[in-house]
Amino acid sequence: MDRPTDILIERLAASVVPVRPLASPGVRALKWLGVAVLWMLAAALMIQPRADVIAAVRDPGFAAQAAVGVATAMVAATAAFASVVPGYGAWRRAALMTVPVIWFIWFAGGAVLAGIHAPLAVVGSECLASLLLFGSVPFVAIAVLLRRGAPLFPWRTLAWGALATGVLADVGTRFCHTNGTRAHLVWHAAGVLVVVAIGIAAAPAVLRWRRAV
Amino acid sequence: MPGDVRSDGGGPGWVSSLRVRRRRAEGYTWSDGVTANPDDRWFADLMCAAQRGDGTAYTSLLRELVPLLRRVVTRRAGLDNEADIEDVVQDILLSVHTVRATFDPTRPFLPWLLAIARNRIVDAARRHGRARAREVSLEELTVTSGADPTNTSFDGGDTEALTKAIEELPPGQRQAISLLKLHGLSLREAAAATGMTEGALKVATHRAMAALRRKLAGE
Repeated sequence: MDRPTDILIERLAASVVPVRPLASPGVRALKWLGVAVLWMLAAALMIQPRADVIAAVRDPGFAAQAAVGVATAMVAATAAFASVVPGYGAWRRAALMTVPVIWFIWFAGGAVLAGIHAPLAVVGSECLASLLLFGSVPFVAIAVLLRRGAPLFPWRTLAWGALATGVLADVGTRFCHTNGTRAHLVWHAAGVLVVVAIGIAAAPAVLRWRRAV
Repeated sequence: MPGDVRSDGGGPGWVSSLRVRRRRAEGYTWSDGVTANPDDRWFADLMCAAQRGDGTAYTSLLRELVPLLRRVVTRRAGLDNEADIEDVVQDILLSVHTVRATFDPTRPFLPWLLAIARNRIVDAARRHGRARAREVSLEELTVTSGADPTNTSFDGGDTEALTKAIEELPPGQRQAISLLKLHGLSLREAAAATGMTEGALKVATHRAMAALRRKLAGE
């Protein structure tokens, strides 16, 4: 029992305390979505919803885009939570990639159909600021939750988490801004990419193997 | 107890075969001889007990895992030094400890363990690669400076010609050569002594060396 590995095992066993197993990735994603939606509501009230919000919600195109956005955020968040659980099959992660692709195609389609009615620069600053406000708390929340997992693929995990945050922030922003123009859509897509870039940049600091003993 | 579980994991050949096929279908993809490990349920039960804070079960689990991990590390990391292998095994055990809450009792244990092991092995391989790139093998170095012919075959050269050539250099270059090459000052010290910048000293030295080389070659 003098080998360093045996000594380490003794130390680890001596320091073991009860831990609650993590819930499944889907359940964790749902909890995160709940927190994020609450924040979105609060942020929307702070900024003030757009004047035609009731009419917008009744518009099937708007509702469908919002639904696809929420579904995308949910799947991306599930992918992020799945990637911090060792042993999840690669095929499952690949399947989780399909919905964000659908969202992007939907988004790009909307951009092609819409016309440019607003100056790009003005729209850009408004949209980016709103996206960052809407995405701030959900991003912190998902980062905190992801840290309870295993940092197997930090960049990939945080990219998924940031994508979930960005897409959800995009949905939230649509309740406060009129965004039927191509200029808005371009800047919303850019905003989502900015959030993803922030996530990837923060990955090494947020997700790393911590010292056990 | 390990013995009980092992006997439970045995049975007729066709039962084992079915179990192997089912486990392969569940995603056991590593070819390290652990694809059909009948101890999976037992490991999972021990880990569940460890998650509840049972130190004895945890000790048993980690001890049972060590030989398995040694085998995996040896095959996957390409390490032949026992100390290095042991380091990686310890790394994996520490990681297992840190993220033990991520084990889902309803899922198989070995894919969970091997995903952690694979991650830590890749990290270790990267670390070893970096360390190896920085290392210089002692066997490549000579024991004394005497083995280098330039250190022993110096015949004094034409010191008179060299002294004369240095004296003929422009004052700035002469000063630079004198301080840096003859008196052995560092760039910073020479810069402080002359009031020149380190960059200017480097340029002056470079030009002086080129001029000396030309003069001594008889150009």
